[in-house]
Amino acid sequence: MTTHTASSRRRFFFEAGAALSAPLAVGTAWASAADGGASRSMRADELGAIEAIRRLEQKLAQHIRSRARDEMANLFVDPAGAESVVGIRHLAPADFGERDVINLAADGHSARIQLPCEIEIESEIEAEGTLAEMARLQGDGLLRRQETCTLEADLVVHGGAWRFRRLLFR
Amino acid sequence: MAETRYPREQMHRIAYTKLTPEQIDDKLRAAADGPASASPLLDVLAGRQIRILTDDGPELRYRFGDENRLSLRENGAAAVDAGYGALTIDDIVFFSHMVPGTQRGYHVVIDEDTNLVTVFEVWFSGYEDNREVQRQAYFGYVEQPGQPAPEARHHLTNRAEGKGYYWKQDTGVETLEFYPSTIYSNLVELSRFGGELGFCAPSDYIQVNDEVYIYQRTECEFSGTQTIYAFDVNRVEQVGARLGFDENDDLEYYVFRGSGEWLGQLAKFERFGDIGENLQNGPDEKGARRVYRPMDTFQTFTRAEFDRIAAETEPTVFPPGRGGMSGNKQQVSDYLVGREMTVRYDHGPVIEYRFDEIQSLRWRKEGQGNWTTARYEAWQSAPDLVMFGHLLEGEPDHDCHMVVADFEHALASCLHGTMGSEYIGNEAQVENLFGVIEMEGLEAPKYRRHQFTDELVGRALTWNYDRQSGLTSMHLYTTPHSLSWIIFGQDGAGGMEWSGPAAYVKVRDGIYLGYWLEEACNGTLGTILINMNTMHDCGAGYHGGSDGVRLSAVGAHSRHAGQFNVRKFFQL
Repeated sequence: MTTHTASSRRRFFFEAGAALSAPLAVGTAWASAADGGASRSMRADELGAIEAIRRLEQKLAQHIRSRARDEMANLFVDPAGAESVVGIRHLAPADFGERDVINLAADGHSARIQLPCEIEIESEIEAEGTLAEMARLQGDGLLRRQETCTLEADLVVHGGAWRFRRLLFR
Repeated sequence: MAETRYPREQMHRIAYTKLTPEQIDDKLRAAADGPASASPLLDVLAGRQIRILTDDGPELRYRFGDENRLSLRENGAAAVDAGYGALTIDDIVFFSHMVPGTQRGYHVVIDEDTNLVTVFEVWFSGYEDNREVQRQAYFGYVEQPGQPAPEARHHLTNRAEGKGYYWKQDTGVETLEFYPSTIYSNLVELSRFGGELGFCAPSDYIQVNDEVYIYQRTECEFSGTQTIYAFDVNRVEQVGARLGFDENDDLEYYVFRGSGEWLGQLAKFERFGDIGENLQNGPDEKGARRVYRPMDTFQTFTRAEFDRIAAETEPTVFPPGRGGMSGNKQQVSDYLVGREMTVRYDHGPVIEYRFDEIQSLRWRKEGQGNWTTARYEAWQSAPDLVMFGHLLEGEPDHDCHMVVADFEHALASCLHGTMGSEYIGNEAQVENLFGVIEMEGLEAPKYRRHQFTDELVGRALTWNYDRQSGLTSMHLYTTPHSLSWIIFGQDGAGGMEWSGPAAYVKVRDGIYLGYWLEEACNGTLGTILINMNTMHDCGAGYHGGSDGVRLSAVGAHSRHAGQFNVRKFFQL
């Protein structure tokens, strides 16, 4: 992936959030980011890849919300990769996805994404004392907090579908 | 001569009888004739027949005879005759009755303007403590022949959250009642219990309309008595009922009307726009509610047992690291390092100190030869104002001193914690000590001391202890002698709540030394120096458990949440 970063900065870097939520905006965003501002249309296969990646993100958010562990594992090349979202209770794009970044490799079979997002993290209460006891009672032993962060992930086409190879929140 | 009635035991110390179902059957026989009432019962329902339909609840067909007799058919079953009592506020009719021969009954609130109804089914012997009233609220309407069923319903709400009232019933009973939560409430029994302490009870809040609400609480972990009323926030009037067994196990079943005074409004922490339309109070099971039962989890010991544990276990004093209640603790201060001083408490001990290192001091009582080394922590709350704490090894009661040393005025105040009450061997107790600092370069005042204050009384402050876990509570300083703590739900609404004895000392403008005792709870003594200039506190929790004595730092960031106007109720 990194071997393509330099060239992709010229050829493949674009603002994907607007592109994915509104195809009409793709051309505009693409044109502004690619070729140093020179206008260029997005190829159909590139657009298809972007849409597939966006669907993968949406499935991830859905499975997090519904706590569908098995379905979540299927989104990863290595099902154990789903461990990276343990404790995440809710995932939503930040800023309407306008700052999303997708680097699509030249061969169209791998990508690196950076998605600013808002997450809700669920964690067990570790503190002792009355407050913690009450919180456990009230919240089933869990505390939740919201954070704004960036989802960073490497993706590949695996078994004919886009999947996460690595995912982390920064 | 009017006399304040102080009870022999406060509510949390009364050993309420574990009544059997048979005893409750016996005691409820008197309820078949309906509730007592200090006010004349109203005949507003006399001669009427109504059919109440509820969502997921009973169908109730009532035929009202006079102002005291009704017959009821539940879900089409045979009619049962019962005594009842009804009272009104404007269009709101409240009536209550038991079902003779059972341990069940109903409290019903009808809005005659809309024909919407809230039905509270109540019963005894539904929990391991049989005397604890169980309840289930149903929402519905009074059938109007020829008219379609209305779509609107009364509903649980957060719109009453944050309110507080003084209420005086027609029985003469006076209370302060605070609603800082959507599932709990706080009551100060001014007339029945002398108004020293506030107590907490799981509660329901239901919105009838913008100015009328229904409030229900059950004094779980105490007498189990239920109080329910509809109240009008404009008129500040209430009509309702009280049902249960008092400390003498006598049946309390009466309807009442009352009037009161609005005491203020605390801040709410839900998102703007959240008016609590989708609130739930516990699992979706009949009678379910969230109840904090602290004695279920408090591991208690006799004093002899705890002395043995403490002798065999190294005390834990200011363990390193942050987290939990210390996640936002203040920086440990080196202000005292290198200083030598004597703290002379009035009528109390005189302690000589040498502060050798940032977390190591030596102390001895004046006139005694040997120094004792102790681990301590100090936090500087304001210029020349330091709080520090340590255990007093060798003292008979696993003693601790949490000291506020004000070097600007050469004053010192101490919360002297000891382990063991007359009830529980590992329950902390505390005394306030006031005195002066004697050291080179300081001249101590002869008469001036830090003093108890009521400036905090009625105030609410939130405390965020740990950003990582989000552990946050709100203190409500309910009386000069008690404090309540409320935790928040995930939507920001006030949640579970409990309380304990407390006291507050004014140290400087906006700076207060306070404590609370988690009596009949988990035995902890909480000590904090509240600085409302920095909105940050410092202090420590002192606890005795199976792991011995613990003295642990606490620290939290604060937000103002309002203040009830209640100080006038506590002035002698």
